[in-house]
Amino acid sequence: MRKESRSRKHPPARPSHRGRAAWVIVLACGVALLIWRHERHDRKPPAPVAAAEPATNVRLPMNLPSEDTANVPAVDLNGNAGADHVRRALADYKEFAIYPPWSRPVDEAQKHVVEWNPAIHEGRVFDRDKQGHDLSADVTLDRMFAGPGQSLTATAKVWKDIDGKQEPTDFKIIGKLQVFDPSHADHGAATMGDEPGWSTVGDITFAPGNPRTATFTPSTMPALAKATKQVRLMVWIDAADHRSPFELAFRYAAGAPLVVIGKQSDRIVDGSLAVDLDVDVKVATPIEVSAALYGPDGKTAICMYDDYKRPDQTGHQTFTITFFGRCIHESGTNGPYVVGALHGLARPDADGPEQFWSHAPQYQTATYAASDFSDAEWTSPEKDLKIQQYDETISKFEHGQL
Amino acid sequence: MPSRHGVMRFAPSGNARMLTRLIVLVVVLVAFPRRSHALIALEGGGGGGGYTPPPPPPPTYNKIVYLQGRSQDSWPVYLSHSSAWNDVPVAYNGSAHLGDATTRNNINSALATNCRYPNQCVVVCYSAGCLRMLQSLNELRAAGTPANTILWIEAPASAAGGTQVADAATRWWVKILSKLFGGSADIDNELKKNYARSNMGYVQNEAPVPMYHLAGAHNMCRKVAWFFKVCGNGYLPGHVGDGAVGPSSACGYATDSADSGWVHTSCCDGGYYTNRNPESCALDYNNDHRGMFGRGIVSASSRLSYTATLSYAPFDDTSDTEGGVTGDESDTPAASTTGPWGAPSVGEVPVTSDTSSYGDAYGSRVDSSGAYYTPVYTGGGGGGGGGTLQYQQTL
Repeated sequence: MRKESRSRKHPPARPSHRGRAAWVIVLACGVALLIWRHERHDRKPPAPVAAAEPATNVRLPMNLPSEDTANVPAVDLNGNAGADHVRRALADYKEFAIYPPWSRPVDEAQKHVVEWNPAIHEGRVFDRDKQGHDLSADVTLDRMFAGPGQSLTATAKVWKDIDGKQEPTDFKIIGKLQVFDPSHADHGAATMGDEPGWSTVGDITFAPGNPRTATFTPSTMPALAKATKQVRLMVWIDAADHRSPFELAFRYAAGAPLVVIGKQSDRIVDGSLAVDLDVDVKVATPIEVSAALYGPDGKTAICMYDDYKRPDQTGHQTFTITFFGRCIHESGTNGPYVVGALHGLARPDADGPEQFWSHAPQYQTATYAASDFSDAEWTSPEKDLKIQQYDETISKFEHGQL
Repeated sequence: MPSRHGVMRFAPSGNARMLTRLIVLVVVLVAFPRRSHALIALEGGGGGGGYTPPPPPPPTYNKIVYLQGRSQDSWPVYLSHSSAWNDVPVAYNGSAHLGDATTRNNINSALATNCRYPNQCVVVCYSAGCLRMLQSLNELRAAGTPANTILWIEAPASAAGGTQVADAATRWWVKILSKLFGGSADIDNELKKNYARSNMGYVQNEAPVPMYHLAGAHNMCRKVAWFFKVCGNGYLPGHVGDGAVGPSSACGYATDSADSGWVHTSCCDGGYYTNRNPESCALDYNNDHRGMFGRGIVSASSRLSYTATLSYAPFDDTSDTEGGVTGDESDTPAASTTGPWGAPSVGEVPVTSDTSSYGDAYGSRVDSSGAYYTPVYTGGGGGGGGGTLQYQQTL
């Protein structure tokens, strides 16, 4: 009260020139101090996090030195060395990110996406006969995956190598279908075909001859029909008094998580080819959809698609798959194109095996010219953020923060 | 109505202008840290358009996630790095089936926690750990929570593409991996070439960023009886590999040599799965599969601008050479391959009996019980300085 009234009656005296100068100096010093602290704060390395990570599953292994001792720094070569390594990673990423991860040209890296259901075989020299000739066997399944109602054919042949020529030889064969049950698994040594967790659910009978063949339909076998399981065909071949096991692990589906009913339409969207598929979703769970875009011959794959769809309900709906424009443009192949190699997988049971699906029919698109599609590189916020992340990391290395 | 005097009183003099500017500057500095400035700048610019949410700030915390291989329960040696990085070992049984729920959950959790904002990470995977990593990356992508702040992946001796060594059985129908590594493992059947590339083919293009591969080319042998020896490379196409994994997998090639007929003697032949890159073109003829673990540590540390020095433990077994072993079934390389085949040199992997010792270029060894040991780095090491080695049972 007293102070207030005094201030009203007696305003503070105007400072002298010397006083103002002093105030300016004090303030300038304060500003300088703030700027200095501000910059120091920015230079500070990222706040260290305790070695024990948030994830509860993480533990330090027994006998492992503590983080401090394990990583007593050697010599920091210099930040530029680290920055150079990140620049290389950035350059490699940019080369990759010309195309989106979900649609890329078909090259060797994508070949297995297009030819996704190959025959699988196991073969080797497994013994010698009394004359010292190598005995070889080859067991083949005509494909890796069989959908509901689809059959697999196993073929086994045995031959002896005589002066470089393969001469068929007689052999006995036993085939058993086995499923894996993790709850019965135990660790430890075991003979192939008799490992813990694997149990036989059916015999597979091979027809006589050489080669010998057997055809079976996994999804119709009682032990496999209810749910998709991890499964394999075990084959034992007897020849020259020895029995040798061969294992062929394959995939099957008791029921498809997705059924493709047909193609609704196709069109160019933002320079890329969008194809609408009419599908029947059987399980509301993330479903991976892979496909290939072929040229008019339906055989020469030019572009692939692979992405997850996340339907929130089962039943009829539309899945749109998009083939990236630059992919088609650069191929120089004019349409009509053919969409095929439709397949994918889902995990209805998070802890269970993947549930594959496939759709054999192909669909033709409308007629397009390759030049109708954009030749622009992929752009997306995801890509921008990744490049920003690399740039920030390079900067941190350069400033000694990493 | 201000008097003339009053006007003069509020008219800024030189000092007063400076004072005003300084006060404004102070206020601005206190109110907005530098990163806020960046955001303001990013949000500004547009004008007139709809609101564009600003991108998230760059990741703050730096993690190194380690994914071990077959027969390992933990990661034995961390990278050398500055205190800005934090090591994240992931506890799982490296021998478990790929489908093992606990293992999958642990790896998924580690990648989802440490390789998403606000963290960024480097992943170091070894051998079968690389196949598990790709599997996990697919599962996280499926869940809509991709590990999207990985900077790069270091992959020494990757078994992601499978190996014919896992396919092979000895003449006694015992898996060769169990001969070489001292016991069979649940994952062995899933490391077969066909399984990794066909049944698990859908994971092979999952690396979202560059995955740098390092491949060894030193054979790995073991005597299973006093007169007989098995060597891993004998089961690999062209007899080229690190004793457990061939270049087709270790270099990240999309086609296995057994299918293409092309025996790779370099990691720079082209034709990789997506985002796979050679860390170096040359195969490492000084290191076998176990030694490549150490090579990976050295190389991955270098990427972080630090040196890691693992002491060299010279080979101390002077008994039979590979060529002198009766019944050797696997040591003759194909004529089309290159490399230091023939008489073993220093560092060669000589195994003369089940009870022999074993050494490799980074000090790993097998004791008389067949247990594998790898050096644990406990300090020093800068500039080539030696550290203290402890041995820990692993692989």
